[in-house]
Amino acid sequence: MFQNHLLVAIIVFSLAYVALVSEKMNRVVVSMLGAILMVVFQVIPQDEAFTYIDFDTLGVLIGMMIIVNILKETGFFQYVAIKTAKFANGEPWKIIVAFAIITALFSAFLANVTTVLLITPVMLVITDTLRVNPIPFLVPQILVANIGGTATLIGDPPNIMIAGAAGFGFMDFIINLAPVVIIIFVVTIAIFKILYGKVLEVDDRNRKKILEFDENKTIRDKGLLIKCLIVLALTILGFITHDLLNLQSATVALFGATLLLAISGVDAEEIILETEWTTILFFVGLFIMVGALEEVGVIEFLAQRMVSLTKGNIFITVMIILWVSAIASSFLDNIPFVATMIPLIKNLGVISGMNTVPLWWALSLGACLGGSGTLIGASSNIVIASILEKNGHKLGFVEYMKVGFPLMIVSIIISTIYLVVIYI
Amino acid sequence: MLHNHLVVAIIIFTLTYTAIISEKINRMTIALFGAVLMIVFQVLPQEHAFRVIDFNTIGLLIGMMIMVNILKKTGIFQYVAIKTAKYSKGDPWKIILYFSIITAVSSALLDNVTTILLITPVTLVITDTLKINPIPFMISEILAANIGGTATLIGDPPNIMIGGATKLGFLDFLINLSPIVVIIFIVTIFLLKLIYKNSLIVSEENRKKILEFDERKAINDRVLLMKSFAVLGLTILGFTTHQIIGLESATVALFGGSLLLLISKVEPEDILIEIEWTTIFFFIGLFVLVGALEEVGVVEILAKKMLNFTKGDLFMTAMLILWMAAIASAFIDNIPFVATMIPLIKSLSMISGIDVTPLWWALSLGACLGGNGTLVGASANVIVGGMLEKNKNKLAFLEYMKIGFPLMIISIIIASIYLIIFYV
Repeated sequence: MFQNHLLVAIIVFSLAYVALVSEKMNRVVVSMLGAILMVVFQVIPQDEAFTYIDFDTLGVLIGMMIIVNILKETGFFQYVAIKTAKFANGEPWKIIVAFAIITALFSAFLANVTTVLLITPVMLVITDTLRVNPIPFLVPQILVANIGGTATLIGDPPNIMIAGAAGFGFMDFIINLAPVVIIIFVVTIAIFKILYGKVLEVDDRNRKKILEFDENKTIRDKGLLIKCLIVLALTILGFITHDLLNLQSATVALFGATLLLAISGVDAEEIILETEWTTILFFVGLFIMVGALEEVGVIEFLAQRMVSLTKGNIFITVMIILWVSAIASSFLDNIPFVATMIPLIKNLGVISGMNTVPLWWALSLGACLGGSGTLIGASSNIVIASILEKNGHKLGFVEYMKVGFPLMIVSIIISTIYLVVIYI
Repeated sequence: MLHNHLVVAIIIFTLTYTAIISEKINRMTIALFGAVLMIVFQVLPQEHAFRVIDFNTIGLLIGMMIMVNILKKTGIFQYVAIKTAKYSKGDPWKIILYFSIITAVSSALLDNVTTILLITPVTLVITDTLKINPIPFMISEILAANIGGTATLIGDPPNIMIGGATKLGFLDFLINLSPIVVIIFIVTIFLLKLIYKNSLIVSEENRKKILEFDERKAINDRVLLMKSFAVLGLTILGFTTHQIIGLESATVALFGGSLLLLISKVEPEDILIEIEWTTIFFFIGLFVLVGALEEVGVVEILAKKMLNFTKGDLFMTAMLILWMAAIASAFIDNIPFVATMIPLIKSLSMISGIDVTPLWWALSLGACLGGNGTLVGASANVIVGGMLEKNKNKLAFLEYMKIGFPLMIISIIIASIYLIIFYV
């Protein structure tokens, strides 16, 4: 009977992964059905299945989605983008750097996808006005969105998941990841300067047109904007102090979200409708599927294998996690990968007695930065490519990869050095 | 410290419930905000808050909503309605009778709101064609929807919640509630006939127009309809056997929902967005609010008070719950009421050791049937009121209440007799 459960769990899990990787079927349907089959085949009872769902992760995701969905209604993103372009005096290289900084910052504190969804159209208006090729402007955007998201607990889904599982707080992420993220950001921008610095020339007349843009027109609702910014500031303050206040991050995010819903006077139904429920249910399904694997002992078995392979050496383990996550995340969805790695790392710690802290940072850096490797490595990449395509500028898979993949490898090399120097 | 928590919990709970009843702010926003405040003020820790959420109820709701959202795209409701109208040869009383039966059965197996949402427009087309006042038709359908929903575990949210909180399965509900529901339905229809018999007169000419309707035009997608029926059949079979095969009701509903998503080839994003997420989160907020009251011991105090009052007499307790639930549900949302009563009844059983099964049936009958009392008593009522208004046939609060309230009281009297004979 027990043997059967093991077999069923492995079959359901493998089939679901194959279906997810092939992208033939919708990923939510696959993960939900996979999870339900685990329960139907009694690999895991229903109550047990629910306990494997990481509600801290879901709470942070939902809370931040609600805040961002209200914030984006205000025109704030567009306002900042136009202000930035004017500040850069319409000079192309300055625009690239300034936009890289705001995208990285927005991605660190809000969602990558929303950030690029709102900033990319503004950038296209700017490059149209300047009559320049938009590709050199948008390729850096792809990379910095992923780099910025790596820096904080709320920046990218892998970090939210790691925080929920490892018990790290907001400040742990800032202290441990922000320094190396800043270094990677600076190096990446320097390389872009070498790549694109010379080819960017614009007519002075077009440059002046940028200065005529009126950023004030983008603000649709000033009162709402002020409320949003106050709640957002309060939420970030809450994140910074949540360990001291003895509150978990999901409580902070949901407090900000419900407070904003209550005071903003927006239609709650509409905002809730815009939350990405497919993403949330995708997470729920994955947590249960991976939980079932854990339940039958597969994860423990894999962890033992890994310990005997690395002989419990922390350097080798960190390198394997970092590089495998980076390569895997540049081609596949990093969420299922991270969902599987989390219990694996936990088991690894229990079996070998190894200090798992560096392993978590290796997973975060690999999974978040790896997304820059190809055009399908992260959702924000796909969003930028499709906005470009809609506007008649095609960014080819190989064309992107020629730039993105080497830069991703550079960022992982920097991460390797950082992890070795600081933690090992 | 503990005393402070008690005071804080009672204040937050009372303010939240007041705000929900006042209907000034979106009910989901306020329920979630109240729930988060309970955690922020450390009445209960976040992990604990997630544990008091009844995921069996949430899963069941989501699973059924997915299936209903797909099924309603097929046009089957309209098909059955037109077919029935033709079968009754345009005789107004027969139309009322048949439509009430369809509404009751559909409300029992699917949900009231969807049923009403789909059958009301067809009914209005028919009454327009017959040139007859639609009010008698609509009032009958409101009553039938709430009565039908009482009969099964999945028929109405209070039953779903009771099923989630207790060991009572699909068949328990069917065996214990459907006989009495059938009796109440027959009595109600009989009384409606007495009330409306003489006012339902149509000309022969208009009657013939009904026969010209083409029900086949209503079916949008035949293949989808077959698939939906196959899955719905499988799901209901799953419900009737779920206790035997050792699966919980949420597993059955979610299995049906995700299977149908998989085979129907509809866009999952479209279907998932139509799930009433605000309702789901309203439930989640309420579970946490009530869980916090339980945590600080308020529910136990109330249960003790109630025992003192009824002296542990099962008859008194059942009557108290039945009538209180009915009157409360006639005027306010029955979901928060039931959410609060559930731990109270559980606590009652722990303290006094009496068999509380009859109390669950009293709660279900009171909360579901009570909704018939006024136009704001249940969501289905509110929807009919709104649709009639759009159609320039205003159904006034008092006009409805003159018929609905006495009929509700009669149904509760019948329920009282039933409970006394069979359980006390």
